[in-house]
Formats: sequence, C-alpha cells, structure tokens
Amino acid sequence: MARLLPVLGLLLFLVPLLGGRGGNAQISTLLVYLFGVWALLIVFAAILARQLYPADTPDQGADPDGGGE
Amino acid sequence: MGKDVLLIEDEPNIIEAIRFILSRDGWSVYTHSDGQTAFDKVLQTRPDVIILDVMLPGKSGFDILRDIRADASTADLPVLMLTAKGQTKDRELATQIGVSQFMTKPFSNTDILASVRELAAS
Amino acid sequence: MIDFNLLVAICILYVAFLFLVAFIAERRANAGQVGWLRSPLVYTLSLSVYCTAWTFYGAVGYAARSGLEFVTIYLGPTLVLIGWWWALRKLVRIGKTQRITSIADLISSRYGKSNTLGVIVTLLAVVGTTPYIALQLQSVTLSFAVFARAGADGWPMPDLNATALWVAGGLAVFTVLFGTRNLDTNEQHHGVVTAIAVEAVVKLVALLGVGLFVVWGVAGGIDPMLSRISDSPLATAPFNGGRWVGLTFLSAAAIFTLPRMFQVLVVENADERHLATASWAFPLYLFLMSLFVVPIAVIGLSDMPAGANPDLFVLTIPLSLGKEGLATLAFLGGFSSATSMVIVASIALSTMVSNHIVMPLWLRLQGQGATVSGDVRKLVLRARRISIGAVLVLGYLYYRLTGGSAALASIGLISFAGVAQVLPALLGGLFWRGATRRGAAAGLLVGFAVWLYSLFLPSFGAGAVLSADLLANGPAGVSWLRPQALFGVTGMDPVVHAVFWSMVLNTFAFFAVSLGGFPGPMERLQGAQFVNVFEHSSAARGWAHGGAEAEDLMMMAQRILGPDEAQSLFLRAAQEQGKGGYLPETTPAFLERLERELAGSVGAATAHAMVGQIVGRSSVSVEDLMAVADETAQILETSVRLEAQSEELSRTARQLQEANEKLTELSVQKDAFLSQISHELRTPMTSIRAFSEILMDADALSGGERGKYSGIIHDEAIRLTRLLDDLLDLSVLERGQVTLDAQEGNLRELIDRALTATGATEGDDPLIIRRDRASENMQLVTDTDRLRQVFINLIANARKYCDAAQPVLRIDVRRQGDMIAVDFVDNGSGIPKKSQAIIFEKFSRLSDQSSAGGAGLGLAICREIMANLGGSISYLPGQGGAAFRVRIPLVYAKAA
Repeated sequence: MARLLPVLGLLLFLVPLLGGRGGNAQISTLLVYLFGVWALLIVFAAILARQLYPADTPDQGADPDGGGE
Repeated sequence: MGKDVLLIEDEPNIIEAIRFILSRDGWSVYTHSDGQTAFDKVLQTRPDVIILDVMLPGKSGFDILRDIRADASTADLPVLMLTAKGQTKDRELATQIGVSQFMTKPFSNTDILASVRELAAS
Repeated sequence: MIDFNLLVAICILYVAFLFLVAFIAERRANAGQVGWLRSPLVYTLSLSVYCTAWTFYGAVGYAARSGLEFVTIYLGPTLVLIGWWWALRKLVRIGKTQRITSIADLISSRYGKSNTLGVIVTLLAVVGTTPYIALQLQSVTLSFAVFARAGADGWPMPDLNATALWVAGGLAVFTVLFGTRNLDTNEQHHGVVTAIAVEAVVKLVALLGVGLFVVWGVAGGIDPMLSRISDSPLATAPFNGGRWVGLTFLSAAAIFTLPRMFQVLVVENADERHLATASWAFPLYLFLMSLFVVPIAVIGLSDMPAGANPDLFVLTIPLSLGKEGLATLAFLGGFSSATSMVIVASIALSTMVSNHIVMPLWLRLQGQGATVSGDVRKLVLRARRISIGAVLVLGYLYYRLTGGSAALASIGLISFAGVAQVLPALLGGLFWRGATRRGAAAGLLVGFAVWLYSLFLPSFGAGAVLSADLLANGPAGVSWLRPQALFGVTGMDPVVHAVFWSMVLNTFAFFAVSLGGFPGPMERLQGAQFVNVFEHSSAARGWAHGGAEAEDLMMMAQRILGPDEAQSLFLRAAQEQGKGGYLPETTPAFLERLERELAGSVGAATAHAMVGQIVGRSSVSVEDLMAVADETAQILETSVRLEAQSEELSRTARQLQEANEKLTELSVQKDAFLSQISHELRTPMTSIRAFSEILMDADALSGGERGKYSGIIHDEAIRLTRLLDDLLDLSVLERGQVTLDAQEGNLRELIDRALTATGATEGDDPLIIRRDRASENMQLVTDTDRLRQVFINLIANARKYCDAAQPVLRIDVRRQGDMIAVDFVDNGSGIPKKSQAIIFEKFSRLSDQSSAGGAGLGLAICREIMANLGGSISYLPGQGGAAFRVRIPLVYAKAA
C-alpha cells in the first residue's frame, strides 16, 4: 500500500490531461479537483505513516515491512 | 708490593673506599667508571689485578670479563668481581666465564685486601 | 508610506532575530539539549528550503502566465514524499550508515569512492545552483524596488546592484558563522536548521496572510472568488500536456538531486522516523503554499494596472490597497524564502567543493600526505569558508551579468533540469548492482553536455553565447543538431525538449557503459552496501588486515577529528578489542570505522585516500571479495554468526595473549625486582661498611678525612632511608590504606610549586618549560601534596630521560567534563611501544644500567597516587616524545 500511494497519486494528477487540451473543463472545477486529490493523498500518507511507525517506536531503523526495496 | 690495580666501578663512594684501602697498603690504584671503554683501559694500563663491578653503565661486568678472557694478552689476568645483586646465578655465570675470585657487596675491608694480595701473588 | 530606512531597519532586526535563534539553538545543541531541535516538525519545516523566492513570488507570476501549470512544481515533491517508503527511506539510511556529507559524496562513495565522480557532480551542482542563487538576490532587490516605487512622495530608488551586494555579503557572514562553526562528524548544523525552520514558518504565514486577505478581503469569499477565477484570463490559458508531465517529473527529480534538498533531507536528518512525519507534513506545507497562488494571480491580473510584473503581485496587491503591515510581512516572507535557500545551498556546495576539490588537491600537493603537516581541520574549515564566499560571489556575478532580466520561473526550471542529471546515477546506484563508475561518469557527462547545449546556453538568448544562426539552423547547417530541436524533433517546448533528450541520453549512456564493463572490487563492495542497505547493517569492508601503524593513524586522526575525539575513539576501540591503552589492533573493522569517522569530516574518497596512504594499500582482500560473492541470505546469516564467533574468539585470544605477555613480563620483573632491591640496598651499605671500618681501625686519619668519610656514611644512610620510605609509601598506596588530605587548591600554583621543587625555575636550567598559564587557572579539591608529588616526578623524569639536544617540556591543561587533563609532553625520542605497557610497574627502569637515578619506583607511586585520588595517569602515544596524561577529578570524592 505504501508503495502504491504515489502511483495512485500520479494517475489522479494526470487526469487533467484527458480533458485538458480542448480547454472545455472549467478552470475552477479543475482547481478544486487538484487540491481535493492533493488533500486526500496527504491524509492517506499521514494514516500510513502512523501505521508504519507508530508513535514512540523504540527501535529506530527497524524494518516493519520485512524488507524494503 | 707496589703493584698496579685497575678498579672498574661506577659508584663514586665505593671507588673512594677501595682506593683508600688499597693505597694504604701500597698499591697503585687506577680507576675507570664506564663499561663501554673498560676493556681499552685494561689494555692500556696492563694492571696486575683487576677489580670489576657487575652493574656498569654501557656494558655489564660479565661482558667485560668475556673480552678479557678472549684476548690472549689478558687471558691470564687475575680478576676479582664485585656484585651487589648477590644472586647465586650471577656467581655461577661469573665462574663459568672464568673469574678468579667473586665477592658480594658489602665486603669487609680486610677481605678485599686479602683477596687482592692473594690474586697478585698467584 | 513605509520609508526605505524603516524597511532596512525591519530587515536588520529580522536578521538579528535569526542570528539569535541560530545562536541559541547552537548553544543548546552544544549543551546536549537537542530535544525539540531535532523533532520531526523542525525537520519538516527545514525541508521547506525547497520553496524559495521562486515559489514565494514566482509561483503567482507563473500562474498569471500559464494557469494551473505552476502546481506541477509541487506535485512532483508530493509524489516523492508520499512514496518515501520506496526510495527516500533508503537514501536516508545509506546517508546515515555511510556518513554521507553531500550528494557528490553519495555518488562518489557508491561508485567505489571515486573522486572523479565527486568532482563532476560538484561542478554540475555549482553550475546548476549559481543561477538559482542569482535568482534569489534578484528577488530580494526587486522587492526593495517595489517599496521604493510605491512611495509616491518617493524615497529614491535604491541602487539595485548595491542592494544585491549587501544581501550577498550578509548571507555570506551568516552562513560562515553558523555553517562552518564546527567540523562535526555528522555535518549537522543545528543553528542553521533551526533558523531555516523559523523562516519556513514566516514565509508560510506571510503567503497565507496575503491569500486570506485576497479571498475574503478583496474578492469577498470563496464563491465569488471561484467565479472570478473562471472569468479570468487564466481560464483560457493554453494547457500543455507535455509540460505538465515533464515538469512533474522534473520537480520530483529535484527533491533527490538539488544539493540543498539533499543537505536538509539526508545530511541533516537526525532520525529516520522523522521521514514518516515529513511524508505527509511536507506535502501539506506545499499544499498550503500553493493554495492561494491562483486567487492572488487572478486578483492581480484584474485589479493591478496593466503591465505590472505578475511576479510581484504578492507585494503589490496589499501595497496598492494600503495594507502596509501585510505588505511588510509579505516582504519578510520573500526575504526568508530567498535567504534560507542561499544559506543551505551555499553550505551544501561548500562542503562539496572542500571535500571533493580542495582536499584532494591539497593531499596531492602534500605528497606524503596526512601524517606530515599541521591541523587539517583548520584547512577544511578555511576551504569551506572560502567556498561559501566564492559561491555567493558567483551568484552575484551571474546576477550582474544577466542583468536580472529573465522571468523568475525560467531560471528555476533550467536549474532543476541541470541538477536532475544526477538522477540516473543516483537511482541506478541505489537499486542496480551492475551500475559502474564509468557508466555513471558517462551518463553524467552526456546529460550535462546535452543540458548545456540545449537549455542552459540558449537561455542567454540568441547571439549571446550561441549564435542566432546556430540556434536556427544547427552547427554548420546540420539541422538535426539544432539545440532546441535535436534529431529533428520540432514543436516541443524547449524545457521539455531539453529534459527529455538529456535524460534519455544520460540514462542510455549510463546503462550502456555500465553493461559494457565490470565494476571494480571496490565498486562491487560499495554497490552491495548501497543496494542492500537494509540487509547489511554492517558497514562497507575494504581494508585488508595490514601493516598500518596504529600510532600513525592516531596522529592523522588527531589532526582531522581533534585530539580529544580521536583519543577517545582509539581508546574505545582498544577497549572493545580487550586491549589496554590508546592503540587498538589495526583490524579491518577498526580501519573501516576510522575511515567512516574521517569521512564525516572530509568525505569518503578523501578519507579512503588518507587511510590508504598510511596503511600502504587500498586494495581489497580475498575475504572481502568472498563476502561479496556469498550473498544469499542463508550464507550471509551463517557468516554473520561465524564472524561474531570468530570475532569473539580472536578477542579472547588477544586478551589471553596480552595477559600472557604481561605475566611473562611480570615474572621477569619479579626477578629483576629482587636483584634490583638487593642492589639498591647493598650499594649504599657497601660504602657505609667500608668507611666505618676505615674510621674504626685507622687512627692516622686527618680531621678533614675523618669529616669527609663520616659525611659519606651519613649521605648513604639517608639514601637507604629514602628507598625504604618509597617502598613503604608504595605498599601503603597499593593497599589503599593511605589517608588523603583533600583541600582546595589552584592548579597553576600547584604546577608552579612543582617546578620550583625540581629546580626548573632556576635561570641556568637546561630544561625549557612551555606552558599556558591562563589555561591552568583552575580551582580543584584534591590532596594537593600528593598531586604535586606526581607533577614533580613527571618533571624530574623529563629532566632525567629526555634525550633531545635542547630538551623542552610542554605542559598542557584542559578541561574534560568533570575531569582535568594535564599532559606532560617532552621532545625526546619517547618510550618504545613495547615498553609503554610496563613503565608504570615497580622497578621498571627502562635502561638496565642505573645512573644516579631513583630505583624505578616513581611512576609506580604516581599511578597509585592518581588511583587513590580518583584520577589516572597514562602514557599518551603519538605525541612526538614521551607524553604522560594525568587526569584529576575537579572535586575529589571519597570512594564509597
């Protein structure tokens, strides 16, 4: 999941490309969409970070994922 | 009498004492304090008797004795060794190298005088 | 109207405040109270050096010109940060285990500690960063000019060039003060980072303030704002899909490769877990920074007079509406953005320049290398300071040359594209074992060249560097080599075109050359370390067990790390190996550790070269190569266990061997002790007996003789007594039965009195004493008589045994926590290594022949006294002569 999040973000951020060329999308709609996606990603990232490193983990540099390329 | 003694010793007070004792008995006493050059001094003075200390700066008394015994011209010289260590293994070593007499410090004045006389006579 | 002087005063006050923040942070860090200085929050805020004046002013201008496209510059970093688990975490872990000091160091270290690569990356970074620094100077001067113009009654326009010069000078002072204060082994700058965090808050608050004012104060709420946006020219701005993708990629790459980002992200990172917090907090920061960019641009375009510079809307909107306070806040925000970027960038660049260019040059010029000349730390620090100055001068010159004309955003993108050339070598190095040094160099050089040719040089305009004809028709009319239409691909945006071709050719060269050759042994080792950093917790190997003399290494380490740190490192290493003293075995593990410590100060390549000079080779042993070959987890695990066992065994063996040597030595000493004590007692007795017999039986002695001989008897009796006193003293001390008389005393007076007692203060004394009386002025509570006895002994020893033609004794005093260390160092030939372990034993006079000296009890007594006083005395190797260190607690505490 941790590794899929940026892929998901990339796809969502590329959505404007689909309708963008013609310029028929309302710029305000696009603006709200982009910032909305952005906010959602931040929330997801925060939740994930909390899960991967719960507060006050004693062992610094542990590898809870079991391996991590 | 009137023979030469070479005293090889580094403690100034002991030199003083032995010199006094032997001179009073009519000996000419030459002294030397450095181990390195002691053997040269032997060759130079050609004494009748040598009194040799074990602990000397530069070279030990045993090594000097070895040199004396190795040189044909001095091999037969009588040598009296003095040591302050007083361990039996020192005495054994000295005998093995060929010392004439061996004496432990502190000595009595009469003993050292007698020894020197005896060595000179032999 | 705010007048010029007031604005300057505000600036100066603000800078003074930053100085204070940095100063306090530094003080706290030095006192060990790191606490909040190293919190995830400060870490996240420090990452905001990404948002420079380009963001603060330029983003609005960008939005006014090209609509929503500006947001790509923040989407890229957001994607990288939320995907931190994937690459950033690895980068930070490698940075910590390998003690990486800069991005050039990372590349150099990964590819077999090659300094050539370090130099390439450094040059690339300098070329890529200079325009960016110029950009910051430009933005600060422009913002000054805005205030000047707004004053209708008008203070005169400030001289822009002079302003830029003042700003550059001030930044240089700040950076030198807080960026090169210490040569920390971790290269972390608490003061600077804290100041940057404060500036991050200021710029965020300023931009949010302007944004809130624009939305609610000018437009009248969210809905009216959105409708004004839809009606604005932005709605019809052309949308370029290629740029959208290209710029997102470029800004994502920038997070990895910008020298300043690497500095705050990796080098200044205190704890890997902070990355987890930053993974969402930093995108949040970027989100907030860009939230009001479009509204400000829209309002600016409609309300500002036509022709107003959109890059400065953040300032001009509040100014034109009479909100001077807000405008000043915005001004400070812009000022913060510019200064924080310049400070961090120049620290990062100066580290690279000094570690990869200055130090290697110096090493080569030295020939003999690290063991010979003076304090390397001073040299490194000086090199850094000069580099910082040079970087800022370059930035200023660039600003003067370009005349500050180009739009802000274009310079930023050119810069990003330049440093992004490091990306293939960086990511390839992190994830691909097959990447080689040659491949990395080829990729970097190709990418750099394409960037120069297709983007950087054309950016000066047709006819400036590249002729208009060349731009239009290609060199010598070869049309497929036209700088902005390579291989005949026309119609692409110039930036996207340059990024595309430079990255494609860069990556291609990197892979092709890497695949065409084999990595050398050192590269393989480092490659394994980097790619599998989470599996290997141990460090890189590379030193064969060699003939390195621990003492030489110690001398070198002292020059780089400083004497205290080096000595404690060696002491610790020796203890871990189960050895006493300061000199550990030069095992490969120890050499690795030493090299890593040194790398923190001078970079991996230089540290490797320095250790190599002393060890005499830099090759890799067979075991090390086998360690690389045997890689499956199973074998690795077994070998780790075996290694631990054999380590344990060899440590035990070493201990046993040492104990055995010591026992043998002691038994020899015991015999010697008996002989010695016999000798020491019998010699005075011989004189006493002989002369008392003379006195007894000779009546013929003169009065003079009699007096002289009884005098000798008296002196020898005293000598005997002293010997017996020493023996008794020693046995009492050894059994700890001594009663100590603790009292307060001054160290300087103690040394004075010891020197007097040894006669060293008399004019004709051959022994020259060097001391620093100021540093000796310390109060301490101890048994002063006993301590003086120790000093007297050491001074007397120097007099007796120092064999220099002109004997000099240096007395150094320094404070070490609760202890005082007093070093007595002479300039003689010192004590041979094999004897260093036994000099503190009883009767261990080193030369067998007794001169008039003592019985060899002095140092043994000293050792016992110091143990009783709660301190220690030890022999300090590697000081150029015999050297003893006495450590005394400031306050003597009775042993419980």
